[in-house]
Amino acid sequence: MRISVLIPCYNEEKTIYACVESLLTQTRPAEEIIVVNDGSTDKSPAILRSFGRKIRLVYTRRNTGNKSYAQEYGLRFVTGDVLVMTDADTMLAPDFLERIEKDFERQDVHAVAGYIKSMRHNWITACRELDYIVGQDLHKKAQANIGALMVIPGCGGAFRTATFRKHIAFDHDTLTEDLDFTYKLHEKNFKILFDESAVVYTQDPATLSAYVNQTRRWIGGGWQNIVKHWRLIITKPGHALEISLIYVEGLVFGSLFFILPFINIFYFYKFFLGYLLIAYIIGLYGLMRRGRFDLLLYAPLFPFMLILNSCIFFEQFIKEVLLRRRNLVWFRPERREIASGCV
Amino acid sequence: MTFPGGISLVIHVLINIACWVTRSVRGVKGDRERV
Repeated sequence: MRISVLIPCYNEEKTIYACVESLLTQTRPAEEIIVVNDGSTDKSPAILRSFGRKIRLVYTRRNTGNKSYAQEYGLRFVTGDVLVMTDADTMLAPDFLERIEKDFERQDVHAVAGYIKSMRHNWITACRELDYIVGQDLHKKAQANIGALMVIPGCGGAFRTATFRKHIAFDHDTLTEDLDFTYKLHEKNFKILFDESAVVYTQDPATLSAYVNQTRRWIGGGWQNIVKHWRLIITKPGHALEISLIYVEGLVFGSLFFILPFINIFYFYKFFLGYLLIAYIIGLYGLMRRGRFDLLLYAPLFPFMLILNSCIFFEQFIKEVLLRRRNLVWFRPERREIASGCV
Repeated sequence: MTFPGGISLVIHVLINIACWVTRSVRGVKGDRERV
């Protein structure tokens, strides 16, 4: 089995070296590492050239402005049986490709979703890590159990190349191409595996404004994909359940945060204290599972991030679904150097 | 991305437990273990 890795890169001088290095030190090396330099104006091309023939560096004519265009361009150079997609701000665990290879030994598997961890930095990335723990260890595991996995993450996903080429077109019409890929595979009834042991570390926003902008892209893209793939809801019971749980419940529970204080302030306090308690339990779980004491320390801030997520959820629902003001402008958060010990 | 929602949390925990119990009783391995 030949494995190709595809990385789009636009002005990633702070992270691209660590990303490629993590690929070159895999226990099971990739046959092909393709990096698409998407019109970078910083030192990224020079850093990438320093890897010589260990990687294949290809160039777009100019910056395409959206990751999916760079991926589409890079796909034409892919020759492997399995296509691993990751991001330039991501580091793969040393055994990531080994795990992926084992997953694809099963002939019925057409795609694999990896497990995301957030690189350590500050309280915002700690809250995002808690979000990942809840999202993956509780929600995503259940989705995988009922065959309704909602997303193959863009920074840590793998596909059979033939399936990807034949059944997944780059439409460039949503902000979250990874969701679009996943829904397309579900529409064709392809088996998607969630492999918790295939770990990637990604760099999440470290400032509130960057967090808000990235969350806007994720949630806005989520609503765009719901509008685009609404048939999944009526044809697949598992997806109907999951989409109801995520989107409908998100709207209902999110609204409680804003309505309850006006109805009864004591109910609101109880509601909020309940979330604080849940956050602590999740923090404790994160501490035990990941050995991170800081997660328990930051757990009280987690409910505030959920409220922030809810505000953005409503905003994007109004923009993307009610007003149909589709936003396709890609947001790219400011990168920072990858420090040792952040993974 | 997660949102404040208790119902999904409860349902998903129950699904996970139910699947784990079913697999244990039947001796069927999960997707990961089968690989």
